[in-house]
Formats: sequence, structure tokens, C-alpha cells
Amino acid sequence: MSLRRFFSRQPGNDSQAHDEIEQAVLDEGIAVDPLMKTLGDDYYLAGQWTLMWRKFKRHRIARVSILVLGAFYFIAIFANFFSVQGLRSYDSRFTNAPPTRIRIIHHEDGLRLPFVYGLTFERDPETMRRRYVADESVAYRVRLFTRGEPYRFWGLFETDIRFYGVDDPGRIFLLGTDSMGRDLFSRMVHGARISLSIGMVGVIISLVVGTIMGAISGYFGGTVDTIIQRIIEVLRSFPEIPLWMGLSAALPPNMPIVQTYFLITIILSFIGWTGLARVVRGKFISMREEDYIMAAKVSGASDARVIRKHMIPGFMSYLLVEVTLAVPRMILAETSLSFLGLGLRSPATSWGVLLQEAQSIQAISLYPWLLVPVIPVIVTVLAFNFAGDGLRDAADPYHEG
Amino acid sequence: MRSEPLLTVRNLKKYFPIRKGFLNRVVGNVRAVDSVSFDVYPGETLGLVGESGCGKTTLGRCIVRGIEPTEGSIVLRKPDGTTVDIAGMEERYLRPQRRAFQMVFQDPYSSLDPRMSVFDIIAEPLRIHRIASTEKELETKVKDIASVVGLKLEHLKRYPHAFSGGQRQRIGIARALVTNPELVIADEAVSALDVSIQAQVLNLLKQLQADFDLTYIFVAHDLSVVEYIADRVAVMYLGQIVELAPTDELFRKPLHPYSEALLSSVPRPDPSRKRSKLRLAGEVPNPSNPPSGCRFHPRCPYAKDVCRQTIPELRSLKNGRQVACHFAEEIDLVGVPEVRTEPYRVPLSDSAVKEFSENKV
Repeated sequence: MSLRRFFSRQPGNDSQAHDEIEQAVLDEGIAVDPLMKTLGDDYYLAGQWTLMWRKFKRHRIARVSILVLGAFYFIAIFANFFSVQGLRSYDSRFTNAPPTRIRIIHHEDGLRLPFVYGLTFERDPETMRRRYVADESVAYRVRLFTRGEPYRFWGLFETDIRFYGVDDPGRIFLLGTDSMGRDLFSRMVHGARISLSIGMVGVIISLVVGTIMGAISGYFGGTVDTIIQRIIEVLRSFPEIPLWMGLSAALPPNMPIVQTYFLITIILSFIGWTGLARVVRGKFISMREEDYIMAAKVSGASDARVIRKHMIPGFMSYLLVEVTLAVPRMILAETSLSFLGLGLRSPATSWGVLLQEAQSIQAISLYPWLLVPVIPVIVTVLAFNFAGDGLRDAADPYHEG
Repeated sequence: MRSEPLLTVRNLKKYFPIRKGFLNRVVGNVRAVDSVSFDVYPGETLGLVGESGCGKTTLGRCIVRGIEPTEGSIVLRKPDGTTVDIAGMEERYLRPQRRAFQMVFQDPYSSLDPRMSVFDIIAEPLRIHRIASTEKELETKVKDIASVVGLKLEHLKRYPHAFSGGQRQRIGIARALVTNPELVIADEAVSALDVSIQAQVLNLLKQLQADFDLTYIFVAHDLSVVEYIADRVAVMYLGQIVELAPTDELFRKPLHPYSEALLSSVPRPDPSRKRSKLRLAGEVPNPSNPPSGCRFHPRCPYAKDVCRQTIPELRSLKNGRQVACHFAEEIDLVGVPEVRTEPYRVPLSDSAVKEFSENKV
């Protein structure tokens, strides 16, 4: 078998291919890189990102994580559509209601399409607490794409189509309500907007600051490098929570929600950039030693060209990994900050704000569903970490085949 | 051959500062290259040999200004007869000169940017120096050089990861030659390759030298490679040239004890030959604190008192030989017997090279 035929063949059986390579080497006296076995033109012509994507796809948990995150962000973007209540709506008739049970068996008719019973409450004669009971005399079908509370879709137009709901006057609280009668599921969906985006925005700010500082530090070296590194060390040695407390205390209490949001992100990025700066610096220093950087320099490339054409493309993938791993840290930080009452406050809603309402042992023991917002936090953080793992494995597609 | 030198290196030094402590104070210098002087003549191949850490790679990189020399001059003669000292030149004035001296790197895996296609890698020097005025001209030039080094044109769109070591080295050679340089520094250009591929790349380099009137400085630690390709050889020890001589003369009759020791390590497949491998005593001294007098004296079997005190200059002897040893005329050193056929590196015939270029990427 000639080499020419060998290279044009279709990918196939591995061991067979290996034999063929050896035969080809014997035939033509040419050593063939074993990496090339079973690989065709689409591999040879694939650029960095294509190779990364292929390697990433082989990481199953990372792939699933990306899907989960995609779903979360999709829901967050269309939060109004996926909730039954608006951000500021409440229903004082149904405070601290437990999660509504969706049923398919009616006590009279037997099997039915999913429906919920009506909800009434009675007072516990001793504790005077409301006890919710199902009113089996009325049943409301659970409908998808149904009419509900009107809202403005992205502030563009008025609509009342919601993803799910029951006919009036029925109520469906998938995860129960809080002490003001707000539907917890709706609030979680609304909270996802802030919780998921604050990580992103925070990371973008950290990224810009971190890349600039890291690049300066790594490229110029010397005294500049030493100064920046010492600053980073000082920043990193601050205990985070007291630092945040101090910074949050500086925020005026009656600021509009949007402003608070941005200030909180900046506070979070305050420490976040240091990690990214370290990564960028390390990458710059290690790449400065690469032969192909030397080759470009010897070819006459200016510093700007070397950075633009060789160094930045070289560390973009690593930066992506760092960003993916930094987002969950931001999300956790926001959650803790809001949980401590230092971050956002009602009516702004984030997962941390929701958890803050579950702070007392009494609330948790009486209304355990208030703890449910922990679940999306855990899932998101895990998904980001798994995705970051997968990306890290894929970030350097040129080592190991 | 003895025309005006193409490259004149005088007293070239490269010191790497050793920094210590919290304030990064300089506590000493590693003298990687310490006062090196030599000439390179047009059309020749100067081999640069020595053991690991002797400074030969640093010297090569200084000459192409990949790293900044600490001191000394590197004078390059341009085709129009004018000379230019590139040692102390500011980078922005140096940049236009760079097309005249290029480099082929040791490791074909790290010397090509994995994120660029082969076409872009070869085209980069042309783009930097704006040698091609149109995209079409650029393409023609890249394709020309690619076929000269034996790359298939349809593979120019591929990325380096699609190629084996030998093929990558061809890409590296194409990149070095695309600006039509006068001087090419090959830094261990074949040492990372399989032995069978080494011969092909060496032959390619020889072929290119003949075709394009190239001058090579060939850095290597493998003496048989140097014997095959170099016209003259400079032997380096601890940052200095200890002997410089035409290849044949050096191999047959070394004048410096270090050259002798180095040559005795060359394997020769001659069963009748008695193996008299000279073993050097001791370690390579620390280049930040070299021995007094002759730097080789602690390991030299012929060392006398004067070697410990007086530094031997690199002096010229007959036949264009230079040596830095007090006793070069007195001691009788053994070289290696001539072996006409290359022992384990059978050079391919021209037809084989041709066939190879046609068949292979």
C-alpha cells in the first residue's frame, strides 16, 4: 500500500490502520506520525477551535453540563414566560402555602389529564397557623401556553401568555409560596436572571482588568511585575466576607436596584480579577519562551504583532477555561453576599435573596420548601465546574491525540 | 573561498544575570557566551559543536538577535558590499535587516505556531517585510518555496499538527528561506528527528545551499552530522571557542585536548578499531564561576601549571586553523579515522530525494 493511498483512505479500524502504517513505513522508508492513524483531511485542516470542540464533545459530563446551563440561561432570559407571577406580584390569601400537588387521579372521575384542586385553608386552633387543604370540589386543569397574569415581554409588548398555569381562580404554586404569598418557583425563575448574569458580568469586568494587569505584568516583567504581583497578593490575603461587608456598607441603602446590582458586581470583581491576572501573566511568561514566538521575532515581527497574532490566540482557550471556572465562584459569592443581607434586597430577587428568607430555623422547619433555591445554585455551580473541566482538557488540543 | 567574510563576530558576550532574594539583586552572571570571535565566509557551512550547556545555542540565538547580546559586534556584509553591525542595533532599525539572516529551530514541534496554517506560517515573514505586493504574488512565493523544500501544495492549508517531525522541519526551513536570506542559522536542526529523517533533511539543506548560495551556521552536538555537513567546525567549551578548523583536519588531527575528547565519543562501526574512549574527569564547571587560566584545565589530561594561571588565546596556526591551547604544537592528539561511507546515516541519492519530495507531503 503506498503512502498516497494510505492518506486518502477512509478512517477505519484502528489496529488495521496501525499495521498499514507500519507497512507503509517499511515500503517507503518514511516514518509516519502515529497521531495520524485513522485521521483524514478534516483533521488536518481543522483549526484550533474545531479541534477543541471535538475534544470537548468527548467529555460527556461537560456536554450534559453545557445543556443544563443552556436550559437555565434560556429560562432566565424568558423568565416572565416561565413564571406564573410577576416579580412584584403577591397573593396575600395564600401565604406560606406548600407546593401544590399536581394530580392525575380525580377522586370521582378517576384518571384525568393533570389538574390541581382548589386551595382553601383552615386555622389550627392551637397555633393559629394556617393549614392549607385541597378543596376537592373544584379542579383546574394544568395548561401549557395558557393565559395568566399579564406582563410586558422584554418591555416590548404586552402579553399574558405564560408557559404553564391553571384557569382562574385556581392557583398553582409548584414550590409553594413565601410569607407574602409570592410563588417560590416564579421567584426562582426571576432570581435566575440576576444570579446567572451577575456571574457573567462580574467575570467580564474581572476579565478586562485581569487581562490588562496580567499582560502588563507578564510582558514587561521586572519592577512592574513585582509591584502588580505584590498588589495581587495583598488583595488576595484580605478575608473576603469582611471586605465585601465593608464595601457593601458604603453603598447607600436606597439606591435603585440596577445600580446596586452593578455596584455589587464591581465589588465581586474586586478580588476576582486577581486570579485571572495570574493566569494571563503565567501564560505570557511561558509563551514568551516558546520557539515559535522566537521564530516570529527573528522573522522581524514587532512586539505588537507577536502579541496579536501569536500570544493572544494562544491563550484565548485557557482564558475561556478560567472564565468558566470563575463564573460559579462569582455566583456563589453573590449568593453568600445576598444571604448575609449585604447584597441585593427584596424586591430584587436572586437565589441568595430567596435563601436569606430561609435563614431562621423556625422558617425552615415550618416551611421547608423555602430551601429549594439551594438546588439551582448547586446545579449551576456544578455544571460550570464540569464544563470548565471539559474545556480544560480540550484547551490544548495539540498535545496527545 | 577566502573572500570577504559574510559575517564577522568579534568578542561577542552574553551574560545571564543570576538574581536572588526579595529584591532580585544580581549576584552573579552565567557567562553563556564569553568573548567569542569568528568569521563566516559566503557559501560555507560553519559547524558549531560542544556539549550541552556550552553556549552554542545561545551563540546562535545572539547572532540572529533572538536574544540580546551583552557585548561585542556582529557585522554582516550585505550583497552591495556595505556592512552593518547588528549587535547593538535598536530593534526598529534591525527589523528591516532581519530578512537577510534567518533561523531554523531545533524542535519542529514547538517552533511552528499550532494555530496557524502552514501557508500562514510560511507567509508570515513575507507579510512582515512586505515583500509581496499583492496577495497573488504572496501565494506564488509561498508555493514556490514550499515545493522547493518538498511540501505538497495542497497541504498548505493544513495545520502543523497534521505533519510529522521531518515534514514540520521542512516547513520551518521554508519559513527561514522565504525571505531569500544570505545566512541561515540552523540550531540543532536535525537533532529532534528520527535518524532516517535526519539524512533527508540534511540532504535537503545541502541541496538548498547549492541552489540558493546559502551560508550556514550549523549548531549541533552530533559530531557525525557536523562531519557530514560542515566545511569548518568551531568547538565550544564553556562559552568559548577552543578550536576552529576545517572539518577534515579537525576530525583527523584535533589540536585541542577537548576536541580530542569530544571526537573520541564518535561511534565508528569498525570492529578492528580499538575503542580508546577518552573519559573526561569531573563535571563541566559552573559557567558563572569558570576556572582560572584555561577553562578546560581541571579536566584536561595534559594540563600543566601554566594552564592554571594563564588564559590561552585563540591563536591562528597554519591551514586556517585556530586553537586556544598553550601546548597545541607539543601534544600529539588522536582524531577519528576517516570513514568514507556514512556509517549509520546513509545519505539518500538525489533520485531518492526527488522521489521523496514527490511522494511525501
